[in-house]
Formats: sequence, C-alpha cells, structure tokens
Amino acid sequence: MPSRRPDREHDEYRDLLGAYALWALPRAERAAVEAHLRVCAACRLELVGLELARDALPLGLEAPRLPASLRDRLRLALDRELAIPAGWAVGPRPAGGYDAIVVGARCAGSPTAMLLARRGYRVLLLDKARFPSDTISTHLIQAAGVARLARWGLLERVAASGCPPIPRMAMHMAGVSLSGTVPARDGVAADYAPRRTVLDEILVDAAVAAGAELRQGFTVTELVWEDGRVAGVRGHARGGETVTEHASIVVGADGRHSLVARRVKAGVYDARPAHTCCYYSYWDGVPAEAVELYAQGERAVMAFPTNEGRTCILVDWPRREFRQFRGDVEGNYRRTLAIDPGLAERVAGGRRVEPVRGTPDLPNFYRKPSGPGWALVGDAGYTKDPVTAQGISDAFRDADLLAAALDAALDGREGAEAALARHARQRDEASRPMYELTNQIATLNPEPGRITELVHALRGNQAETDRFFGVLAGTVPVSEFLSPENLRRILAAA
Amino acid sequence: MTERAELTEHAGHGEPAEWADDQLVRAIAERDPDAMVTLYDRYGRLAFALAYRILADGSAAEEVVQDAFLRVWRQAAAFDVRRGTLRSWLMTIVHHRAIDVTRRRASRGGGDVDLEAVSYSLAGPDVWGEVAAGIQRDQVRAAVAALPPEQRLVVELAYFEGLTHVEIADRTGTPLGTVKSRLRLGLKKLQETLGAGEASGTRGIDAVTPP
Repeated sequence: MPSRRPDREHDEYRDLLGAYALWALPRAERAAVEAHLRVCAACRLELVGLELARDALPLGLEAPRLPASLRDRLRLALDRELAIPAGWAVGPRPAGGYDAIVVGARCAGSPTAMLLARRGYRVLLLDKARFPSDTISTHLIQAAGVARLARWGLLERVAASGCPPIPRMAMHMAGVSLSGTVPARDGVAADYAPRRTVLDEILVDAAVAAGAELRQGFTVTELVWEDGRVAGVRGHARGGETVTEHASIVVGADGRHSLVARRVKAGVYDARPAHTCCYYSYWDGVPAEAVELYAQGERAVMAFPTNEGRTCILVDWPRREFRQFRGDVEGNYRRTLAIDPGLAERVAGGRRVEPVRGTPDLPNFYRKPSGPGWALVGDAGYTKDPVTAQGISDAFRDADLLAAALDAALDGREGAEAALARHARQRDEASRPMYELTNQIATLNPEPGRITELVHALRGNQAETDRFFGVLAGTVPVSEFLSPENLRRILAAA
Repeated sequence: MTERAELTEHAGHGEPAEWADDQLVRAIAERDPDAMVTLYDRYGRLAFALAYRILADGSAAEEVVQDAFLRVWRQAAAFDVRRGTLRSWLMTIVHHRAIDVTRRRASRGGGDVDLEAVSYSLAGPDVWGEVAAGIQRDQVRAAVAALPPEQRLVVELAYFEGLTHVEIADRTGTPLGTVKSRLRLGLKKLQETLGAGEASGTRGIDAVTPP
C-alpha cells in the first residue's frame, strides 16, 4: 500500500493509472486508486487521456465487419425487455439497503454470498457463529464439489490447509471388497475432507474478499415483511441491540431447521422418514489413504483422512436403535468399528483424540426454494441422510445455481419468477437421482437386493468399479450408471 | 405519449444521434430504446473489434457485445455520469465479459471475472468524438508499431489477455514496478502519437469536476 505522505502517495497512485485504465489491478488496489482519484484532479485528467488511448486501440484491429443483424437482434432484445412486467420475486433495492441478505455463512451461504458479490451485488452475510467455527458434518467434499472449489479459486487454500486429496475409494460389504479410483471431472479426481473449522473459514474469507459484508455472531430473529413480500431481516449481535436490514431478497442458508424457511412457511415435499443416526470422531495413528466404506448387518462405517494427519471415522446406526446407541455413545461407537477385522486392528493401534459427536436429527426432504422476496439454498432447501456424504457438494452446486438465478433476477435480465423457478427445477433435477439412491442406502438394509447384486457383479470389473465410486463422488451421473441398460451390461459381464 | 415527452425534456432536444453520451445514458435509464440503438451505432464497432480480438470468434464476440449493451440498458439508472464516461463503462463490460468467456473456455475461473470489476472510471470530460473522428485505422497501427516493444507487450497482455499487473510481472519476469510504469507510459505514448493528449489537455484541469 502506498505510504501516507501526500506527495509520495500521489506519485505511487499515478504510477498505477496505466494498470488501472487497462483493468490490470486487483480489487483492493483498484479501490485505493479510485479513492485517490476522488481527491486528485491531476490524476483524473491523466486518466481521461489514458482511457482515450486505450479505447482507440481496437480501432486499429483487424476485425470482420460488424454484422448488420446484430443491431436488429439488440432491438428485439430491447422490445422483449420492455415487455417484461415487474416481478414479485425480487424487490427493488431499498435505499441504503442490500441487493441480498444471506442468512448463514457455511457451505451454502458463504459461496452464494461470494458469487453474488463477485458479480457486483451488495451482499450482507450473517451468521450466529464466529469463525473459525466447528459444526457437525460428514466432512467429505466429493470430487464434484472439489471441482467447484477449483473453479471458484479456493481449492489451493483448502489443499494448503494440510488435508490430503483422496483419489481412491474402497468398499467392503456383502462379503465383497472393491477399490478403485474416482474418474475425473473438470480435471478433478479426488475428494477432500477438511475440518469444518478450516473449510468454513476459507469460504467466509472468500465471501468477504469478494466484497460481501460479514457480520459474525449475529442472530437473525425475524423477517421483515412489506407488501406481502420479505423485505429484510431483524436480528442482533451478541448482547447488541436489535437492528433491521433491508434487501431485494433474503436468502436462507441457515440449515435444515432454517428460520427463514419456517417464517415463510416454505412448503415441504418428497419427505422420507429419518433412517440413521450418525456419530464420528478423529483418530491419530490410523492412517487412511482412501475413502473407506464398510457395511455389515445394519451398521455402516466411513473412514477418510482429514487435517493434521488425522483420520475421521463415522458410524451409522438405524434411527430406530438411537435410544440404545445413546445409552453408551463411546462404547457403541467403538464396538461398531469392529465391523471389519482390518479396520479393527488399525483402530486398536491408534488413539481417538476428540469426543464422539453426532446426531440422530437426520431428516430427508425438499422445500420449495423461493417465493416473494426469499430463497433457500443448501440444507435449508434440500436435506438428506449423510450416509452418502453429498451435503457439502450439493450445497456448493446449489450456491452456483441460485447465484446464477439471482444474478439474472436482480439484474433484470430475466423475469425474477422465471429465474427462480429455473433454480428450483435445476436443483431438483440435479439432486433427485442421488436423493433416491441415498434413501435406499440409508435404510442400511443388509438383505440381498439390487445393491448387493451390483456389488457382487462389480468384482473384477475395474472400469465399472471406478465409475461406481464416481457416482458417489459426483463425477459420474447416477442416472447414467444406474440405468437399466448399464446395470444389465454389468450383470451380464460378471 | 406523455412519458416520451418528459423523456425528451430530460434528455435534451433533437434526435438521439445528436445527443452527447451523458444525455444518451439518461434516456437509456428511462428505457428509451432509440437512445440505446444510438449508443450501439456509436460504439458497436469499437466493442466488437475488442471482443473479436480477445475471442478470435465472430459469433462469441457478437454475443459478448449484445450482452454488454443489454447490461448497460439494465443498469443505466445506476450509472453516475460524474464518476466516468459511458464509453469507458461499456468498454469495461465488454472487456470483462470477453475475458470471462476465454476463462470459461479454458475451464478455469468461470464466472469469476464476470462483472465484479465493473467500477466506473472516475474520469473527467470526454473528448472521444473529437479524437475518434480524426483517427484512421492505419494511424492506430502506426502508433502501436511505434511503441517500444516492452511497453507494447505489457499493454497487450493486460488489454487482450486480461492479466493483472502481478500476472504480467510473473509471465514476463519483469519487476512489478517496471510493469506498472510500462503500462502507463505505453498508454501515454499512444495518446501522444494519436493526438489525444492535446484534445484532453485543452479542457484544463479546472474543467474536471470532482465526482
């Protein structure tokens, strides 16, 4: 940053004017130059000349003739725009308010806020917690979610936190052991499983770096309604006074018990009964190099490496046995790890370094994700059993879809209702097949059936085994892999 | 139509084609499609030439240009003429959209550039009409050719490839300070060769209204 002495400061900013005019400055420096331009007439004058020179450059370029049809198309597009009536879904930006208020700053909220802020919107991001902050989680970011982190420019930070890439998966069930490598998508072929203290802070930082205004330790207590539409939120910082903030749209990224969803009475559909309860802890001295999946009787176990060279091990029990599990959480957790002799032996040589945590509160449902002045993203709108560990990558995908729809709606490029209806459709289409598969696996039903039959048929078929793991990782479409033709092909080859 | 009558009063008299940019942008903010088409007639070729240079693909460049003009249409109401010129705002959008498309193509950072960086340029009075009218393609080429190669390189890396000063320094193995001054000196030299310096200089510092 330039120094405080006015004359030197002027010289240093003037040196940046060329880079400024050519859009070659990162955000922070650009803002600093603009602040200087506001008070420096000489730099403003110089900039006018530099921009003239910049815009003269294309006049010397070799380009085809500008097609005449482009003018007509622009005209048509303008007529269409003039015909779009004002929508109900997104309000006008209130004076002094925000384009969007995002309630919840974890895996769905922070990326939504980041993507909107990167598109130039004024975003307020709120969370009860102060970051870094832990939360109950499966930890696993499937490769499809990792690919989004890479696209958002955040994968390097996650990798630099010390949690290793996990390109391999291994499964032990129904007397069969399979292992393989996840097929790549968008150049990414590995899961990661960072601690949530690590991941959530990276996501929050990215939202702030993109320009979102963050208030941590802030509890939203009520929504503000105006003309039958959500127009903002009321809430307070810890020990602070109640304040009201206004926005064109309020996004509920506040998890499966979303206050936003409850206040707007978002309709629930396709709900299924809760299947499992899930508990986990972290281990030293139990190295894991793959995502390991075990199923035996009505128990399932998942193990994978996380930060600090530790391994996170989760156990799933049927929900109806929750009382029994709760009777001796540590003992039952520990005994479940005997599911596989190899795992039991490794665990015996290691040490559990944190308490066992978990929850029986694992519902399965969809909520209608938008209405007048509100939208839901992540678990607030679509929640499912953690047994297939899709939550984080689903939240990332939903953030991408919702941010694109809100951009179109806020910008007026598309009718707000149409844009948000598209988000709802895309979300459901993208998630439905995995929702069905997750609900099927979460029953922990050990009886022979379609899944055990498939697992047996995959023995010795490495290519299809890899693709099977790709389904979990989100790099191979569920509907494609589980299509009747594909299953017939796999069974026939066995 | 009453709305239209009011509009004319806001925007000034005569045909849109005769209006200055700040009159045009006010009319566009009030959703006058004729003003929008006038803007297109004024800067469409410039926008297309830049998009085509970045994308090397006619139909992708057309899409970028149409997108950019529609963005101006939708956000004109929020545009503050004291903060910069309409042309600079438009060209910023074209540049960012086109660079964004190239990054999506390379499937890295898709959507990330987008319009995050569209801030107005805080410029002063615009003399584009006077400058552009007198400039021929060959003149621009000669001016570019007259640039010292090291200045020309950094300008092109920023302008046509969307690199930041730090990325340019990395790519060319040049100290950051040198990159900064080459970017500025390169543009200044172009400005002088093209005679744009005199044009803007005639307005004098006092004429530049603070934003």
